Amino acid sequence: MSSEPAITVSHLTKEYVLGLTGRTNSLATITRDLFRSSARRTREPRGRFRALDDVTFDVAPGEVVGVIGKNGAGKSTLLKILSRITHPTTGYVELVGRVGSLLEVGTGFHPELTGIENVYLNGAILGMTRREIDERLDRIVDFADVSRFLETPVKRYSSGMRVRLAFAVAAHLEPEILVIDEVLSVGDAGFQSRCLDKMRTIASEDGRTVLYVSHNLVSVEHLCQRSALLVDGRLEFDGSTHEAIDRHLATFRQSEYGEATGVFDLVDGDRSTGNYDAVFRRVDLRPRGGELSDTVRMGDSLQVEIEVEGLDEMPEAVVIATVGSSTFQCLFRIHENMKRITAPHERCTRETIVLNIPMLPLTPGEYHIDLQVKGSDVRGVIDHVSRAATFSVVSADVLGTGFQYTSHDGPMLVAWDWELRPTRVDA
Amino acid sequence: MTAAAAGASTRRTRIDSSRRWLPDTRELIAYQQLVVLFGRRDLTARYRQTVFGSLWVFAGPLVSAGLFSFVFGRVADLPTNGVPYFVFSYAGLLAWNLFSGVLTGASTSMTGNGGLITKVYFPRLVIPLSTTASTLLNTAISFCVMVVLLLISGVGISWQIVLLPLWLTPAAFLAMGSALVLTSFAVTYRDINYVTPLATQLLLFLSPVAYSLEAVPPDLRNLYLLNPLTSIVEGCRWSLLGGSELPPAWAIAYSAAVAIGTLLVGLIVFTRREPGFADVI
Repeated sequence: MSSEPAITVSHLTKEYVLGLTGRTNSLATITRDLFRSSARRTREPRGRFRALDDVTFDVAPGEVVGVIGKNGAGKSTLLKILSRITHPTTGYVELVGRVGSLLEVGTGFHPELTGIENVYLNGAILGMTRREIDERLDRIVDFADVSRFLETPVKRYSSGMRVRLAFAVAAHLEPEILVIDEVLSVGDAGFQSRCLDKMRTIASEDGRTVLYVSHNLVSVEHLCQRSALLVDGRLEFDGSTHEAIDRHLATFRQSEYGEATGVFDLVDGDRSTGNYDAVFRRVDLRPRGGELSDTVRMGDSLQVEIEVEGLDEMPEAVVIATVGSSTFQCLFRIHENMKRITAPHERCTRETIVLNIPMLPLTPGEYHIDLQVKGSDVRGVIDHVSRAATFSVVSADVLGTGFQYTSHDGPMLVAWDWELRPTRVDA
Repeated sequence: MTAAAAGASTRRTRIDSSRRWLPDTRELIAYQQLVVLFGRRDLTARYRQTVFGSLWVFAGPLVSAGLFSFVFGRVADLPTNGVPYFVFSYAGLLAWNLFSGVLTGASTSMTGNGGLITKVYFPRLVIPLSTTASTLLNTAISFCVMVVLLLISGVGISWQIVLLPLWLTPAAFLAMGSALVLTSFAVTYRDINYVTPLATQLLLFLSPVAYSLEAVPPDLRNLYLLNPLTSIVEGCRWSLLGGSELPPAWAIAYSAAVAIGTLLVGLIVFTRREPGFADVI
């Protein structure tokens, strides 16, 4: 096998002329403009918009690469160019091998035709020959689980059945290069996991080159070792999926609030009780001990840095961190006596307590941390800040199966182990 | 199969901003099956859930011929060179329906399949080719009916019938070429989809379909022959009914040249504009 890349993307740029697409100057507009002063004329903005801006990368044969980015970052444009639906403005793409693209499940299904007729039609649209479809028909029908309805027009299918059949056709296409966009946004959970498994098989066992675009970060993490992050049409990062996702989440947070997050000033925090002999000044959150952020990926560690003032005078104090959610005031609580916290330095007025949680046991959602410091008698509250820090947990492929946790799976993530043992039946 | 697979595994595709002048015939051949399947999709879908099914194929030309017989044959009493008017107009409609079928099918092929064009790649020419294929099938069926009509009516079949493709081919070329230009621009200017049926209707009455060229005043005939369809329809009738006179040789050559030229222009316009379809549709 040669070391030549399966996909070469070189300085790819796609420009759209704004106002040209879909908005032709109609006669009505033109006539109206005749009677208007030039200032009031309907002006079509003819600005240019760069959907892709000088994107360059290679994909080796057999590699599975994810493409992530916000809406409008250029992911779909990239896939449209790769699947030859639209042409680039400048730059080029070179593909070695047959390309199969799956941009939207069920494109080309005709409602009046039966399931089996549509399998042949859809297969041909995707570039399969009749013989290839003949050979794969049984597997396609098995996978889609629609054998009873093959002679039924597709218009009578449920939407789930339609999606299953369409994915089955595309998944059995077996091209050397497979380009996939957001297929998993449809279908029930069971089918989604089957699709993920199938895609994993396509990618790993069959040694195909796959480019996978999704908003579903769990599935990207599950399938891809490497990912490209697009921001405003530019290739912002190309490397490990984990880092790409971290950066993606960081850009997401930054643009939403305008500044880096994960920093909480507590000087004016929400305080209820206390004698304030010591006070919390601020909290910093560092997922995986790295950059400041208030977005933690499931299963990651979280470092909480709490800056306090005046605690050096109270060696017997107890620090309490309570993690809660919108539905549960307290999910878990961490107590620690200051006596047990090691300090490699001389105590001073302002200090930072570093709390490390090796695996944050939470599923995706919004959470908050309450901070309290109490005297040795436990009743005397010294300082208490409600909602000292808020953070969100986002999905990650913690099980290694691509399973996506939601709020329905409860707030807690625990470690477990299964085992199967024979049961002895004594007669 | 293995050889083809090995060939496919080293297939290289380069995607850039360059544009071709003429369609990639090798690629079209690779997609020939899709032409058949699209054509079959149109035909089967059209007659699904109908009681008479594909019998409806016969209805159109027979009803039109019947209507023409009444209006032009009985009311206007136009000359038909001794052929029963029904058979006369049916012969004209055979050529006309091929032309208008190809034109209508292919001219709406891009705007009518926007969902596919923005989602999947295949040579776009596959769609107009498949609508043309299904029109050709309809023409073949109409031809069988024509033969039956010729035998029943006692007109009989003359040797010229073997020359029929000579007239039908330029009719298809003319329609295909115009349709390719129309559909390429209809992607941006939808007005074309409203203009085409009107223009087609106008053209039906400007061509000698319901009447013969003989019925046209002599001083207008040369003007008439500038419409390439005139010689084609007249020639068709000459092949099917015999007896009548052929249009002058220059008019036949002119029609053939216009048909080939139109097809070429259509193919070039379509191929040049094809890369932009998905962006504007």
